[in-house]
Amino acid sequence: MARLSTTRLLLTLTAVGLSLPTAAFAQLDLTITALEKSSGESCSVMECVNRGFNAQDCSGSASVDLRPAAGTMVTGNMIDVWMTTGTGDCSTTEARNPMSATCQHVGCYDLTDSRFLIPLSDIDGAATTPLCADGSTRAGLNVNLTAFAGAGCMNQDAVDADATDNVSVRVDSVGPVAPTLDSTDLAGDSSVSVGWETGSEANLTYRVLYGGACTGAAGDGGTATVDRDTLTQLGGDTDLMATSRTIDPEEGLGLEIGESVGVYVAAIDAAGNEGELAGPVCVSRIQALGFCDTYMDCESDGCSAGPIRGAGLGSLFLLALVVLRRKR
Amino acid sequence: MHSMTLTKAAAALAIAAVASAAPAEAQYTYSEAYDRSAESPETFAFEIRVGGYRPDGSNGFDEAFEENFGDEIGPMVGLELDFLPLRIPYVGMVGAGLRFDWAKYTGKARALTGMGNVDQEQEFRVFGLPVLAVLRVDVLARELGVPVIVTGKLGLHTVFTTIDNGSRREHSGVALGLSWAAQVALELDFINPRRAKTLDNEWGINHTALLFELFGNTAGVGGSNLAWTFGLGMTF
Repeated sequence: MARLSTTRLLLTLTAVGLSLPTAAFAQLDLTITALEKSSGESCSVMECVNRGFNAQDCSGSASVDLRPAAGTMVTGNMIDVWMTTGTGDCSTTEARNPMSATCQHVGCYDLTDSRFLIPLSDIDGAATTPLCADGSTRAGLNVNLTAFAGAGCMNQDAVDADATDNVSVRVDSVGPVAPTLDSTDLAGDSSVSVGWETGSEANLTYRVLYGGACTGAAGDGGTATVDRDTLTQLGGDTDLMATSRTIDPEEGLGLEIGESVGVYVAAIDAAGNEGELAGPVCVSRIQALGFCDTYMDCESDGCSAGPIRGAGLGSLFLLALVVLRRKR
Repeated sequence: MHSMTLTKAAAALAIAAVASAAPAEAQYTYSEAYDRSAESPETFAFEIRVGGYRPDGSNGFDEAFEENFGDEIGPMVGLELDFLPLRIPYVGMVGAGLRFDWAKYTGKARALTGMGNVDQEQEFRVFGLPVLAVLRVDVLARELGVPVIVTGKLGLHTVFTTIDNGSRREHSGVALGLSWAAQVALELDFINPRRAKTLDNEWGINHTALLFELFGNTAGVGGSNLAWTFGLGMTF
């Protein structure tokens, strides 16, 4: 009985011993689970990860949060990371040797708290195409990161395909061009509509600001010289992608009759980069006369229903009906 | 701009009407299409309409409307459903109907100090809801083979009006009056009597027609003495 138990125990231990290494060192499977933004915010929603890093992240301490798939182990608990902004594959020897061939070496990173943190500054530093510096493209770039496990650091030799994985991260550090405004001067009492043409980039949103005098570039899509910090953001945004905003000069801009203010518009791209300001559109509040001011049957609380015109005709019609009915 | 919209709408209605009838087939005659004994019951009439409607009134209404909305005439679009349970022999059908009309006018407000228009959009919206007694005279079409229907309508008109001056609603009200309409319609069955018959057999649509109507009402704000509309009608 005791002998049988010992045999069973040995078999079990052997099975566990054999199965563990197979499960732990399976195919390297890495996923970007979050972008640690320079603002301190951890952006883990897929939509946010896909938007990538922006100019603010470039100037701060942002990093890619890369995690191995659950239940797997990474040989040596370290990865060797290479990058390319092209379509090349960094897993081939030719792509890494010489280092400037197609891919550049980003760095080697230890597994800490079940994740690899790859600083954006390392990626930017390795890139031969500007990512964060002046000269980077307005539409941004997709960076392909190739990670190797168990192959040492800065390995330029052949690597095991099972210990290799690729992920992609987007870097867009340039804001969109200033929108072209539809008008230079607008005047009204209770509303004016500021409009602009949509930009060429996809998924742009717009921010409307106001403040200061009506001077400077106006309505030509050019950039304004005003200090953006002195401006106030217009409240009440509902559709940020709309290419016009109806503004109440009194309640929205706080203008008295006869006063004016400059209104500016900036486009914001999907990565969150705010472009240069367009404007100003000079919005003036002047006393305006609408229909209800000119129609004498209207008061401040609305117009009266007005007389029923042709009431006499109606009465005659009703009278005729009554008479006809009586004759019958 | 509006006249172009009206033209397009009228053309679309005409195309829709003509499309309902395919090339004529000689072996099936117009009078056969009017063979009432073989027709499905004809109790309802439905109209889809588009036309020109300009609110008018007294106490300076016309002048104020002209100043603020120019010569806009809508367009007014409408739907009407008539219930016609009675037939007077050798005259036509009698019943009641309900119509929904809608039109919107836009214009810029004007500066108080004579600077012309300002960049402040105003909107004047009219929603008409007349309840009508309807006399549909179809004796020409039914007895003489002339595909013309003449319809008279008389009833109570209710008009709802809103006036927005930029971002503020300055008026929202309702006015009542009498409503009238005189309509001439051209029945389209003669284009393809067989198709017209099939439409009746398969869908219960007795007749389709292109219509022109003059109408008006005596309601206050939002009412109009005289307006016009084109449309497509059907009875079923």
